[in-house]
Amino acid sequence: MESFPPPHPEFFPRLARLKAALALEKPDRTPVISNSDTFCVNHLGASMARFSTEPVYSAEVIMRSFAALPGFDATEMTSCVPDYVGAILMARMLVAGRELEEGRPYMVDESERLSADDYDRIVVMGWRPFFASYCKEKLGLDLSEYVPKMMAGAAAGAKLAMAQGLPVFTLPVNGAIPLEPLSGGRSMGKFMRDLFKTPDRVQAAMDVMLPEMIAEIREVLAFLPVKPLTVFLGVGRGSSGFLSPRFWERFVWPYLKAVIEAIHAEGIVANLHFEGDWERDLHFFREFPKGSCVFACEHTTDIFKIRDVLGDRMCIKGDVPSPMLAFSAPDEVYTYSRKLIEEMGDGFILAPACTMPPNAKIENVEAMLAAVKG
Amino acid sequence: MSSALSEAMADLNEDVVLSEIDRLLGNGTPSLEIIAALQEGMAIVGKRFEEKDYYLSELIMSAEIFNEAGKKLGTEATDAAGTLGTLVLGTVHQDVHDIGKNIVRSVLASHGVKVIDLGVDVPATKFVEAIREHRPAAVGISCLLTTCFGNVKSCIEEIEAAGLRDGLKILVGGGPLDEAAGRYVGADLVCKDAMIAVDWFKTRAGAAA
Ligand code: B12
Repeated sequence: MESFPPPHPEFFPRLARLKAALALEKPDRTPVISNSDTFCVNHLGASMARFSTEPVYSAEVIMRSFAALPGFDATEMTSCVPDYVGAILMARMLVAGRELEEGRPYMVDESERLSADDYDRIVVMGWRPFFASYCKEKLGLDLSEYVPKMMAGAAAGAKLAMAQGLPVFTLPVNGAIPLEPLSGGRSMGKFMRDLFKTPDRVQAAMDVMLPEMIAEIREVLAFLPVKPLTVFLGVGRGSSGFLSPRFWERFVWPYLKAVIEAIHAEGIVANLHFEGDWERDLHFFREFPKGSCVFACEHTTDIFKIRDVLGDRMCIKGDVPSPMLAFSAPDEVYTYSRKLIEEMGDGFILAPACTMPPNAKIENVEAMLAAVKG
Repeated sequence: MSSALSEAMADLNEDVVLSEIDRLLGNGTPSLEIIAALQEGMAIVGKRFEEKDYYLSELIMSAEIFNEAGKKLGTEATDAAGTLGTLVLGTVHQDVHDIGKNIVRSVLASHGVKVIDLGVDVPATKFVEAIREHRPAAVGISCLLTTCFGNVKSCIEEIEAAGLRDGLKILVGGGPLDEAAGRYVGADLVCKDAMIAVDWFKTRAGAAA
């Protein structure tokens, strides 16, 4: 039998800190976490090409970067899988060592690959069979080969994180709500046109996709040996700023609510990784049980407004802006982080807005880490 | 001027816009007059957006309709409608965000600016070539990635090195590109939205008149 090493002494205190923040209880101090991907490559001088194409290597690089910058309470992700991130937006990813030269961060190549007739095809074929054939034909991605590689990366990352006492904060599964992949595959202009001109057709496809996307989340959870702290729901083009109320309330909210409720039914916190401007519709999220979501914002929605509307219902994570991490002096990062820690209250996790920018200065990351220590 | 056309444009009723254009062309209405009516409708779209009656969904749809209408009228007519001057526009090298850029394109076009759109991930050399060819009043560079601020800076430096900077206004925009970043890249004007560029073109035309 495989013998397990004793847990790292920091692991459980960190986990307790995160759980307290998620439950809106008082942690011993504000937790600080990061979703670091290409930043780690630059930080360590690793190979961007290997990082972008070999999930296990990406896991090693990420965990080495966290080890070299001690003080984080969790890593948001275990590994980096650009091709899959592209696929869940129904777009191709250009990566270093394949389409781009070594050193360049991966880049989405979005174009109109999904046709208007594909809405009907999704209804006829079912979402997952359609998606698998789409990936193969339109993106050149064979999921039956890629998914095992991706899972190996996630497993390697989880193991390395555990060994250094670093909890993993979230589990990404799919595109969260049907709107995200569909708008990526159609491209934004065409997708908006579809909403205006053939809304019933779009909705019919979404209604087929929703239960299958929820089933996928359940299957992945059932497969894991331990429950993740949170499940990642990344929504950007479904933000309030992008859609007028009549569209948002029809094409975003019902789907988002169903997915969030499905995650809650598994006893897991929903990680609302929401890009863009959500201010108008924040109040909708009050209906979820206290402590069952974390609102992860990226500085476009005013974090203090989120606190005012949702602070008594859910944990908030954010939002040191990318330009500040990349260009400002450490003092400014420290002062901003302190302000958040002091004004956001107990249910708060300090983190970069979205991912750690690839060009973040090390001394700025250190300033963030110092801020939680007071 | 056709108020039915302006209204349909403002209400984003594409079918009516296109059939109205056919009708007007059929009865010999000059293209420029038709464009003026469309522009009037687009101005109402902009106003509704500012008043939060419209959101990006409506702005994007208005751009789609305006482009379709433009195709019916032909490039000659739409170019001739660009009375305020020319803008060479693109998203900077290594950045592929284009939703904002496309909005800028249609808002400016609907306010009488001729827009040469170079697309996304545009290398500096392409900006330089387009400036040589089109002699624009301004260049617009869109950038949403902090990692690409350096590319905006070097793009502007290459324009300068090619001897094309004099008399050329350099406009930049994109979510995270603030005043400080604008100074860093060496731009003349940081545009939080498309209307800032429209105002610049209008002021310039006013000064010239
Ligand atoms: C949609 C989106 C995408 C889509 C883009 C689809 C498309 N076709 O454009 C996809 C999924 C492809 C994408 C990919 C990525 N994205 Co992105 N994306 C966004 C998102 C959610 C919205 C951007 C948007 O369209 N806004 C709406 C438009 C209308 O606003 P706008 O572009 O700012 O334009 C307005 C004004 O700024 C101005 N303007 C803009 N340009 C110009 C130019 C001129 C001349 C003028 C006058 C005015 C002007 O006028 C416009 C209209 O008002 C933002 C989040 C955010 N808060 O912005 C992230 C965001 C921009 N993305 C981000 C990142 C990191 C990425 C990726 C690197 C992610 C990844 N790891 O894959 C890739 C990069 C790909 C690449 N190489 O470019 C970050 C950038 C962080 C940073 N500052 O460095 C953001 C801010 C999210 C975040 N906080 O992390 N993304």
